[in-house]
Amino acid sequence: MPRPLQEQADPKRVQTGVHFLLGNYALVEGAMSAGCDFFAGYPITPANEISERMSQRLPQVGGQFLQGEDELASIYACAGAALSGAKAMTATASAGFNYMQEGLGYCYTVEAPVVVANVMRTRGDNFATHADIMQLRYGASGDYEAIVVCPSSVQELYDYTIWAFNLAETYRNPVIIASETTIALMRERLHIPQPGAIWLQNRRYTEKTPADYLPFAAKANAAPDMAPLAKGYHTIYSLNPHDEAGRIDWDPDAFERLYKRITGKIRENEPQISRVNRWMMDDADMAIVTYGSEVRPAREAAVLLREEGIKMGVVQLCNVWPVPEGAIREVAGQVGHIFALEMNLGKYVGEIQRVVAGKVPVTGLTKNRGLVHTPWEVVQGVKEGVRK
Amino acid sequence: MSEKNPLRKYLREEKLPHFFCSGCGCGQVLNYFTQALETLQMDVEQMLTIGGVGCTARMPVYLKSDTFHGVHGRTLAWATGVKMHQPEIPIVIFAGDGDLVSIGGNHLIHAARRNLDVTVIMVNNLNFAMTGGQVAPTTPLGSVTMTTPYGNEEPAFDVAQLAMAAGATHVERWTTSRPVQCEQAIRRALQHKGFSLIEIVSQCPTHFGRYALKSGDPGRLLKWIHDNSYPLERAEKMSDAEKQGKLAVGIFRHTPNVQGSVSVSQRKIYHLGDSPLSGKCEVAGAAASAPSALPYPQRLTLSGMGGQGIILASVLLGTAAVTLGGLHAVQTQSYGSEARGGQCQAELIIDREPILSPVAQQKDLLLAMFSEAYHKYISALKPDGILVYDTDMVQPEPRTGPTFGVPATKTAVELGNRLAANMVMLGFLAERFGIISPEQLEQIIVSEVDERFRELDINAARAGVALAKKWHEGGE
Amino acid sequence: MNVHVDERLCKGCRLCIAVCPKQVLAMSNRVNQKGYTVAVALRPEDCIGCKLCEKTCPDFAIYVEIYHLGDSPLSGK
Repeated sequence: MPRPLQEQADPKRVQTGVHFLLGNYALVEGAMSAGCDFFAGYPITPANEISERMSQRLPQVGGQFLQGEDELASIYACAGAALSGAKAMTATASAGFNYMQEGLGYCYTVEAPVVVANVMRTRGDNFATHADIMQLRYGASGDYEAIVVCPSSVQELYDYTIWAFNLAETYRNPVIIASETTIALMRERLHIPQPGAIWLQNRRYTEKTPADYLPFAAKANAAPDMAPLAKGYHTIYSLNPHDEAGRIDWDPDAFERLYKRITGKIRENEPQISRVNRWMMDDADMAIVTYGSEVRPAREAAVLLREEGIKMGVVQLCNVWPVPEGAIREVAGQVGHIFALEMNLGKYVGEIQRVVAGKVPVTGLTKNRGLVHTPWEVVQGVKEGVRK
Repeated sequence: MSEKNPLRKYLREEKLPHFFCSGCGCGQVLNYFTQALETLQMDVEQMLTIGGVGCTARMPVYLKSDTFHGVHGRTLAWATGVKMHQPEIPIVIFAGDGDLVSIGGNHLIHAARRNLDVTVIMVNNLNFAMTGGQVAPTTPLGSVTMTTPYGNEEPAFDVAQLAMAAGATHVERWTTSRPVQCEQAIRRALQHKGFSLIEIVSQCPTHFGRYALKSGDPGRLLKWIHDNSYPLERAEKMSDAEKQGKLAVGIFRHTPNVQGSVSVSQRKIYHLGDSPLSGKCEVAGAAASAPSALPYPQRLTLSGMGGQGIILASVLLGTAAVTLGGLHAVQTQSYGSEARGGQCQAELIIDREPILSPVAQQKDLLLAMFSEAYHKYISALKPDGILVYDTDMVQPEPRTGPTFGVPATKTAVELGNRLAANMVMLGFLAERFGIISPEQLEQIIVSEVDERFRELDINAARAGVALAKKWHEGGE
Repeated sequence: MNVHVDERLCKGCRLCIAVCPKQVLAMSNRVNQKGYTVAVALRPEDCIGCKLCEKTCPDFAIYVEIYHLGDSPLSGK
């Protein structure tokens, strides 16, 4: 039986209450609240706690857990499960995420709703980084749009995971949770609400008969309706370019239609997808625009700067892909200087600069030392940036 | 009366003629497969067929079923996901030797190990055909291919043996020259519960045939395949020289209906407590905040040696503060070699308000239970911050700020286990500073600590409380 | 027996000719739209209905129609 388009969370899955919980566990609870019923993962630090808790929690509600023989087995098992109706998730870290690119590309092309938790960490060891922020968007070959959410706390690891599942189901697109080693291994206060307060979105199934059903036909900039697997709809889910009927014969017009639609369904709906948190922005003259765990020192830095008379606000990008263009442009229209904060040698700052298009100066506050910025480093960077 | 081959009803007829080369074994195997479907009266529309990338991988695209296609080597990974979520869907995988055994090798052995309830039909044309005839792990020794122009120097897998060693419960090998046996084998596989691998050695007239066997004539190649294979039953009577370079065909293994591990149709529901590892998520209600002798926020470092229970102490403290005290807390800890036998530390920030940066430069309280840890973290403690140290483990330098030496290890040893020193410290901290109350500490020990250690830990905490009370009343 | 060869699908691989025990099939001199020289049932009267050609054909191009006593109202008893 297909799930209803919208439903409240299942009380049997939701551990309502106030917790002091590890970030990785909070992500799992988010997935459980969201209705995840299939998980496949391969051991990798610092994502192991996700697999471990999923292996305990899923069987409690009749879900399925697989330790895949490698990351490829994991992402492809998720693809298969998702196409057969499951709400599927995998979890890995940066090194393992590398292996999943083709698998993600497959999911983008056949429009399989899969959630991928990627706990970003440095090469070879478990230090903090944002170096993969572009790979999250461009890692797979081909044309597609990524949806990447960036939690900055244990609470957001829970909340954004539910958001991720809802986005995946709505748009029939993979959604990546850009977790980080910092928040994944941190323990913090987590409030899990009553199940009645948690709303879930589920994919739409077709009402057409197999004779009339076109698996990849959809209104412009929307996801196609799904059909149940092995029930007579004889659909080909192929990585090859295909037309609305799923045929994989080469036709440049069909090729163009396909890629315009699967990118359009995200691009054109970006204002509905994107969320930002504006913090101390009402009277701000300047803004730090950032994402993930860097939001925390940014906020503390803003408090310190205000003590010195600099009216700084912080704009948290809750999702970095698609780029929240409208929100960023709005910030550029309000403040006189934007500081783009990230833990790499300067990657997403380019996107912000692109969107701002020179309207106001955008200074990158970047470092790649395996450590989150301290509030004092941010304050220092702002002062230097202002001087220049 | 129709003049069409009636088995075309299983195919997407609008796509015929199919793209396989003239005389290709893939076309024949497709025919054998539909023959098996017909004999069994199986509905192709109620199946999932899977092809990866390659010539063989294109076979299922012609079947009128739901099909996954287009990614090289991952057919069994797809199948595993589907089988776990919808175990009743019959799955047939059409895989070439390159797709299944080269790039897909890892998934093959694991699917066989799991006895995944699928049928794998491997059309073994002894090369990577679609990409032009490169050598494959199944190419016979000495063969000339596009990437072994001087003759293949690597021995070939015996894929049937490989699958059996990995745990497959149904393995057969036949050749395209044996249509009757192929159809019967496929039928057995479709009815088998568990992992079935049907290897069918097949002619590739366009590539392997021309390069390795110097012939593009399908009939000649079919004869070569037939002549270079021998029935299993005859193996005993053949000399090694006679068997050299040839493949045995027959039923290698057919263990009836062993339930696959991954495709159980009755799913067990496990309950909290079924696993000794079951995470506890029972949550106490948020009570009134504990009266604290200290202002908030409090930034603590708990440090010591790996094995002293530093992390547990920090987690209990944080859990109590949040779930019983109604406060906010953030805990981070060191990992890696630093946490094993070397120093170990956890940082805890506790506040009434949500905490911004989880990392604090200057700490308000340092708990040091080991000398090296004390030396490492003392500089981060504010000059007027609180130092609490274990008198048996640490000799602190003189300082101006409030300093408390607690005989935690000595007390724990007296209680029977030196590992309870961390609980003595927590008792002390609770009574002396009120970050959490002693009652909250006991409550959290009861709900979070394994029952084997509960009594010891509660006694240790109480001993720490008693030490702190003595301190109040005149101290050391 | 009636041996039908669908010339649109036939690719002239000659496997049917190779397996037929009665030499019923042979290559014609006709070339189809895809450029293949197609097979033809030259001696259908010799067909014994073993269907090896139909089962072996990689292209589903052959159908051996087997008449049974009683199929036709004109069947001789």
